[in-house]
Amino acid sequence: MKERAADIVTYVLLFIWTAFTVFPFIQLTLTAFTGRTFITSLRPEYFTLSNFDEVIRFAGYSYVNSLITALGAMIINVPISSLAAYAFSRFNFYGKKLLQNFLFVVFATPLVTAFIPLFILFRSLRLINTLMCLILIGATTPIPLNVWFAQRYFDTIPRELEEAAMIDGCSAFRSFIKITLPLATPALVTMSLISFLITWNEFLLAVILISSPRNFTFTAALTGLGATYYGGFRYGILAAGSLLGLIPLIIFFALFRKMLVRGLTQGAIKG
Amino acid sequence: MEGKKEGRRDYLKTVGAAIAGAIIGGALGWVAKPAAPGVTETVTVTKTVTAKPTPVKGTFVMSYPNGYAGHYIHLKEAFDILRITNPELRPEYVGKTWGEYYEWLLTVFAAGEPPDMPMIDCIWIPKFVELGYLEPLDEYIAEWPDWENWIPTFKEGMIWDGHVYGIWLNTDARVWWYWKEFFPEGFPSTLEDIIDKAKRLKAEGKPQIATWVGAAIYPFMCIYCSICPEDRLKSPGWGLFEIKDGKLYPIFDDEYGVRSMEYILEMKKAGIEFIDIPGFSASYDKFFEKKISALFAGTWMSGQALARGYKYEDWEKYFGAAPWPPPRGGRVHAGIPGGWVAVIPKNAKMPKDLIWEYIRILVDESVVGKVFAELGYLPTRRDAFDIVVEKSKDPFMDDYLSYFKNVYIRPEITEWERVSKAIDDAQWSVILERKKPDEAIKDAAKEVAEILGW
Amino acid sequence: MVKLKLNLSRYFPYFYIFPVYAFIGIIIIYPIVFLIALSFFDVSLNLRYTFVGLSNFERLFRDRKFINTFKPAAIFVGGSVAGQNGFGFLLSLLLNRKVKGKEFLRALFLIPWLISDLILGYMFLILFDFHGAINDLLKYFGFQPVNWLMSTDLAIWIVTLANVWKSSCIVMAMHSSGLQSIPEELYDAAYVDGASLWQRFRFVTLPLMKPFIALSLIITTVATFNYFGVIYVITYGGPLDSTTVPTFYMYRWAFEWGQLGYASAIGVSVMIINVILTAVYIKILLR
Repeated sequence: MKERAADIVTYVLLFIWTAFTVFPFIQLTLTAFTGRTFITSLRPEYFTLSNFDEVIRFAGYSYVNSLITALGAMIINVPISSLAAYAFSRFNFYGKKLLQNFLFVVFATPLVTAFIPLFILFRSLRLINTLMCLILIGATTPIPLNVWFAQRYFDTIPRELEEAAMIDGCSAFRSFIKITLPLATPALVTMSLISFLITWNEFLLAVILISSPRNFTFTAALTGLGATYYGGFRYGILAAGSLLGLIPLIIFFALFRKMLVRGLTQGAIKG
Repeated sequence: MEGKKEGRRDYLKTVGAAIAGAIIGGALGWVAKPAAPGVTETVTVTKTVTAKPTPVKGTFVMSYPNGYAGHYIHLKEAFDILRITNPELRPEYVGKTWGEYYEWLLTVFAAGEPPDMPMIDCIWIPKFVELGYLEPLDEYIAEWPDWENWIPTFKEGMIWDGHVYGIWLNTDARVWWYWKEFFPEGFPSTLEDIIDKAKRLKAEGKPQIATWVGAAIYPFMCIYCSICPEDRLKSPGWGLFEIKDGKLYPIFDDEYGVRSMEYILEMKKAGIEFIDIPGFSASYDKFFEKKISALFAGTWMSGQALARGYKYEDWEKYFGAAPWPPPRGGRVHAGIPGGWVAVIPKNAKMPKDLIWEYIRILVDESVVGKVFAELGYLPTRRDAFDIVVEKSKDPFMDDYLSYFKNVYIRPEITEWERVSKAIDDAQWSVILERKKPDEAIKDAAKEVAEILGW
Repeated sequence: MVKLKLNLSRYFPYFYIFPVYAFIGIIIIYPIVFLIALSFFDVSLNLRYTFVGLSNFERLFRDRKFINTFKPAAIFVGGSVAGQNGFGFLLSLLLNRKVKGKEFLRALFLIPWLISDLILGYMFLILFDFHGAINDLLKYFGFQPVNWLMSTDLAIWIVTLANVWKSSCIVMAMHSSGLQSIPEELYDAAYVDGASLWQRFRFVTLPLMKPFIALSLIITTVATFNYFGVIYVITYGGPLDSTTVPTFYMYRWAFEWGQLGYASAIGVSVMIINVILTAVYIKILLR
């Protein structure tokens, strides 16, 4: 009986949180298609695509920039994170504990506080205003997270497989590439998605470091449509732009839901 | 091992999705071209533009505040003329919303890659001069007879240490726009009447009166300058400061300042809506959707009306324009003009002579006259006024120009951002009833004194 | 031959981890060191340096506005940590039970974290503007609309709400794996011993989850304390600076008022506070 009551409470609470999570998205979608924010007074004739049209016209090119940046960060981040995670998982070496703790400390240090030196650094490297600086930052920010995931995943892959390959003459590195990586594909996918999305969503640093409009990322370009606090709110356009910015997220989620969740909540669960 | 195959397939899915995304994004980028509203008539610049010996190639970058299409059209008109002598020059127009334009300008200058010809708000110029970003224009001006035609305030405003750093392109007047249907008796002519009217509108459940708040102008200076002693208006900063020991010293916390704050509190209590900087753009929507019955903004409201499909011929049916009314016994004054300035950045990529040529075209009276007549900005040179009046179909143009009789510009100080924030905070603390009027303005004066080095 | 191989292979791990630390060194460590250095200079936006020693910090101590940023910070961090950890832990508990569609819900709840600050900000703007959705609903049900974002008291709570909405799922994810690692047998044993739901929670779940809870408290506190993205978008420091947190104050000094040295001093102070907070946490929670 008490169990039944507990179940009901569980479902009710979950329902409330679901509503709480989903409500802003619904409002966003409605606003994107109608340009209005008043839920209770919507009429069918308000629906229009003009907001999307305007966003695409003014910020379409920056979509490509965002894609390039996110892809670039992903391509750099995944290999180096897997390498490091493999080392932490398989090897024991001097300073390993220290280095792991250090990674944790880095994770707890948000980069945003250092935007001033980053600005100056990239300026002197002449990378300011280019997509490269965002790619480099995007490759670095997810490192602690990705190394942590990958390491835990690697831990669930039995060593015997690699040892077997090594007995057959493979070097440790080759067995890593040929045996371990293919088995760790869910982890690789998760890492790719995480680094892609973190870079795709990067907003503040993108606005600070890139001032030439042809190099804007999509979120930065969106601010030019009357976006930030100073700009004034043309709600429909902002909402339309926001929805467009969510597209990669939606695509990846639809395709990789199971894997993402598994990767993110992976614990002692065997694959 | 099916896990392997499944894994590989999934990885291919990621890559496939990424490529698909790249293709979609590329298609979007291909489709995206900035909308180009056009002006109908063609203009021929009557004076000869001296052609450079060799036409310049490359991309010419211009930046402007994009809350208002008029600037883009102005820049484009002038650029099309520049292109006649430099056919291989490609334009790039960068538009940013007013609020983030300043930070963007600072960032892009600090990064060393400024636009070739940015339009800069007159209040920001001192900062850029102080940071050494701007090229002095004295040599160019010495050979330029047009300079005489500039209204003196707009000439002197751009001089620091004896050098001219910018050419004032356009200006505006601050103006009330109101819906005639809510003001059948006309717009109130004194501040007290506005307050009464606001109370009545509230009682009748009609849309309220709204004013912008910000940059120390709205509405503090509007009220302050109409009640402070007249000769004070000639002091630097239009009555806000006096010069002590060679430095500016704030004097706006006197009785007139306190009284201004008290008026603002009365306005708030009567129900008048105050709109903060973030809400500026949305306030146009609110006005034209009749959520507010009157809005104190500026002459660029003409452009906003045009953009929403109202034709000149119909305006007088719907709207009226009025200056800020003084308190009983006060004087009507011109309002504090803003405006945008053309400069040549020191680090500009294009040759400076070319940029100067562009600026000259930009302010040529035929260009100015034509563009402003259609788009509602006000010129800064005397000989353009007649052209504007003659060509303009804007029914309020005469009113706008009449408000112009006595213009004073804001104080040109490098710390204007922080000074105006102090005064704005004082206004807001009164509006939000967190401080009493006298307390608010006195605290602001203390803070401003500190900022100015006292 | 064999000897050579052994020697080299001792160093292999370092080759594996080198790229990761190289990136971290350049992109994270070097800027932080540089930040500390910058705080001893007076640097303007055109990057002209003048050495001023400790005077930036002196000025910071006397700066009333800086002191005032700690009140919004306390609410923002306190509220966010409480909300994220409270809701996050609750969610992970709920989803640990037998629930239909568990996986789907888990994925759904993760979505808020994956959206950009900018979009997050807009969503809440659209909701809480004076003429926006929430007020519309209030009016529909006959209540008075509230000026959420113009109120010096409420604005900071809206921003906190946005942060909680966004990041509660991370705590949920962090705790999920921990919860799943608690063996079913412990619960069964307790059940057999007659323990009620609450007792099972208190004596089985809580003690075993303690390290996870401690960890997530530390991480959420430090992360929130340095975060100002959502504030930048929704309120830009808020009505009368009521949502200006220390890092946002730093941003304004750097890019609006152009004094990079003073801003760096603020940054350094924030970092020091971070370190102190973390040390305190570790002392208390991880005894």
